[in-house]
Amino acid sequence: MATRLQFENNSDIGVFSKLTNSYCLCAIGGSTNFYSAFESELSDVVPIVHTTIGGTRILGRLTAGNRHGLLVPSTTNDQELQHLRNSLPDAVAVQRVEERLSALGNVIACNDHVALVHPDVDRETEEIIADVLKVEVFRQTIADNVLVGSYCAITNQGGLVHPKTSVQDQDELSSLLQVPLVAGTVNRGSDVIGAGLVVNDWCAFTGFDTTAMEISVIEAIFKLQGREQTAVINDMRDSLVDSWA
Amino acid sequence: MTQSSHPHTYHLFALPGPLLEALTPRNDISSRDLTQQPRPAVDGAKINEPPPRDATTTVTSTTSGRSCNVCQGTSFANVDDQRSHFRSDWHRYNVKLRLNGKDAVAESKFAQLVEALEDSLSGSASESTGEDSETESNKRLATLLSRATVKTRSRSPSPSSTQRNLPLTPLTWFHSPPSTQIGVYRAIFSSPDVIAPYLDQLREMQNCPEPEGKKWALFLVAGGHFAGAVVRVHRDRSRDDDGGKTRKGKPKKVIPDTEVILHKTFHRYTTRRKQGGSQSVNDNAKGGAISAGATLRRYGEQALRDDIRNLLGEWSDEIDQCERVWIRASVSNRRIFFDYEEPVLTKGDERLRTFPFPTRRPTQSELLRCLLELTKAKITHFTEAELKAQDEAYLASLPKPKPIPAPVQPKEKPVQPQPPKLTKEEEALKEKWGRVLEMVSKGRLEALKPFWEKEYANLVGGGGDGVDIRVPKVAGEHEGQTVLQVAASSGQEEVVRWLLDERGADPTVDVPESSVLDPDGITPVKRRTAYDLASTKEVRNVFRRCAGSHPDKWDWFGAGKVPSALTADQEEQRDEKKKVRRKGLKDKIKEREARQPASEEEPEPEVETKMVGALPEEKTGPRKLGGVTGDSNAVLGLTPEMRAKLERERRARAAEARMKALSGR
Repeated sequence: MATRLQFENNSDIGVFSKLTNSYCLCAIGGSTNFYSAFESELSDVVPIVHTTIGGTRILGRLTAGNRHGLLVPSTTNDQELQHLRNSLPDAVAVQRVEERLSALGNVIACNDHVALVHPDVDRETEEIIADVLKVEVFRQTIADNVLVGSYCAITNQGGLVHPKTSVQDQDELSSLLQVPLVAGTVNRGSDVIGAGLVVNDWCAFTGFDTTAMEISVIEAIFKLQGREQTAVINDMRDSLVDSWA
Repeated sequence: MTQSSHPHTYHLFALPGPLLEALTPRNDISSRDLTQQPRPAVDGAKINEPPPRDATTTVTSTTSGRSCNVCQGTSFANVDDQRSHFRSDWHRYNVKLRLNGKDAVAESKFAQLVEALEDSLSGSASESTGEDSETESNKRLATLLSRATVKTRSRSPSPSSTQRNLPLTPLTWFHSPPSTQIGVYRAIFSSPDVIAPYLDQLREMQNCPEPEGKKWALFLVAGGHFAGAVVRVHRDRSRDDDGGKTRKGKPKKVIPDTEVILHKTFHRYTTRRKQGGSQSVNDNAKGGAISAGATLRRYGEQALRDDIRNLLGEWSDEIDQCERVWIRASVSNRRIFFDYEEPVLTKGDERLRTFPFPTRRPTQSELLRCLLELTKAKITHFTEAELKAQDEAYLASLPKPKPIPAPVQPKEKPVQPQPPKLTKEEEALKEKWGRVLEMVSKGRLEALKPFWEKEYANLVGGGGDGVDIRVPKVAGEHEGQTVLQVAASSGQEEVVRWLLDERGADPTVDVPESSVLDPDGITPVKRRTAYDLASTKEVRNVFRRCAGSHPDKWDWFGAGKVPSALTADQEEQRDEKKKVRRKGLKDKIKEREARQPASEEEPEPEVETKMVGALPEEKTGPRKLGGVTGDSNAVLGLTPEMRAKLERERRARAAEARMKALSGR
């Protein structure tokens, strides 16, 4: 089930929220609309935590996480860290990472088994990612872009990548991740998938500008609402992105 | 000098209309750079463009899907192989190379590089455990990369870095297609620091609103010579032409573009012969000389100054009408023009300019040369391709912008309460603990052992805890921790081993709350022990080894929070595995090298035939997704819609194949 929502009139909800299979982080906004939208979908299943990271609301871009853990950048202050530790389930390890590339959400894309990271992240960070998130880490680019976290969204079911990802790269990534991938867009043609879409294994939230076609691709590839992934291919051939840039 | 007789020199204020229409500003490399940063491939430059993939790899990748798009000529039997390849140094090196716009290297070449590096780094000890060799390989990779990327950018460009300050040249260039460029001195424009409206200004300059025409004043002063002139650089041509014909009826006289209205040159004796410099400068530096020559020169300077000021006064009406005032004068000579009562020119005058090129001794002819240099537009005839090449060469030659060092903010130290007065015994105890903690945290085991033996009784005192005594308050930062915890947190494996094995330190002791607690006093969620404090893998392994060798001594896995024991044969197995893997890799490389000469012959013609078909533009043009790799002539004649449809179909098939492959597994 994909829900469209906005954060303070902004469709880039992936900037202001983080969704995994075991928790959801949500920026503190002026009104609770944004929060309520998450609550109505997730209320009894996973905890929703209101927080800031380093005093900012762009926590979706600053943090990276999955079912096993949450990585926060070095800008996170002690109070926020403590708040996260208190609010998240005990099984979720929260770890602060001293990394030069501090927008972890932009440089790390992960599901519960595999993480794609920016080719320049420190070796130590790579180890922390592997330990805390319990994933295999691969240094990759997406459509020749180093910000892997910004340009794709992946779950254990499937993945949506930058519209300009070549077929070879999609093949390669798909076999690395062992999930089907399609190239696509969100928010009416935006290629910044990570900013427009937050998704876990059973629900997705997209920016308010996302078109019905984009939503149906998202629902199909992430296996939401009992749709078969092959629907992307069979029913929605025309929706496959053709980028003759 | 006029445009009719010399079609290849243009007077700045009389550019032909059609040329003027076609002009576009050219020299704004910085802004062009910025707009094209995301896809510099449009520029035809190889910078940042991934290497074109050759046909053989696309074939393998579409058939099996288990290949690497970065490293050429790889294919894998299963996913594990592929994954381990993606973790390999070779692959990571190639990814970085590709990001830096270079071609990937073959495996054998990479092995050579690494070997060469090892040769050059030899002398460093090579006996190492498994982990050491891993970190060593990282270092190697980093060194290799830093060598390979010395000349290229270090990371993805951020907008701010592209807006670097390009050195401003005195000339600004305008381009008129197909192949004419016009260069104009920036200083001529009214606001020489702003790039944008130059072209508009240039167009505006062509028509002259004032009836008398545009006037400039030029002054050169150096070494006692002075040359000054007021010239008309621009007049309204149409009016002149009509007047000339009606009055005299003669064929049109060639009207020069510039006309000297007033001019004057002086010379006074001011410079010190064979020494150089002016007398006043020497006087200021060394005190007044009293020779006759010095007096003469002082007088000469004085006289020159008065002459110039008088002249300026005489010309003041003309100077007031001038659009630009060009002055060439040294710092001290400049004061001649400004530093007196009721000057004709003021220092902050917006019309003032210095000559943007070197000038020679101030004479009348030099003055005219300067005028010509300023008013004649520079002309070059490069084609657009040549210009592009020049731009790139220029950009490449620029030094990289230095990173702006972030201001280091001194960390605020919390105000510490004045330590209370200590008694003599306490002072001694503090000093001893201080030494112990220093030795522990710096890993000086040889020094620590005898000291611990000697001072054990004193340190531990009456406490029954033995080695597990907590550091007393007087010792400062590590208050409340045991020695083992201090050693673990500072990553001293030797000390930890000694404490655990020989002194029998207790690993299950809790870390005191105060060192875990946040300042705001929220209780921590988890109890922590020395193992949790361990900062490095080696130290953690020491714990695990001890847990393996004395499993019954402590409650290692419960209260001690050690995850699992590590025994000698486990480690042996691990090393063995690593060795096998490394050996396998070497064999593979050798095998590949052996096979390569044979296999290189075969695929070559195939690639050739494919490449002949592909248009050369495809490489440099905008990258079309997927389109390049397929048979591009097939879609060449199609409409964009048809092409899009075909491409969509191709993508659909690829996705279908992927899903089938995944579901079949």
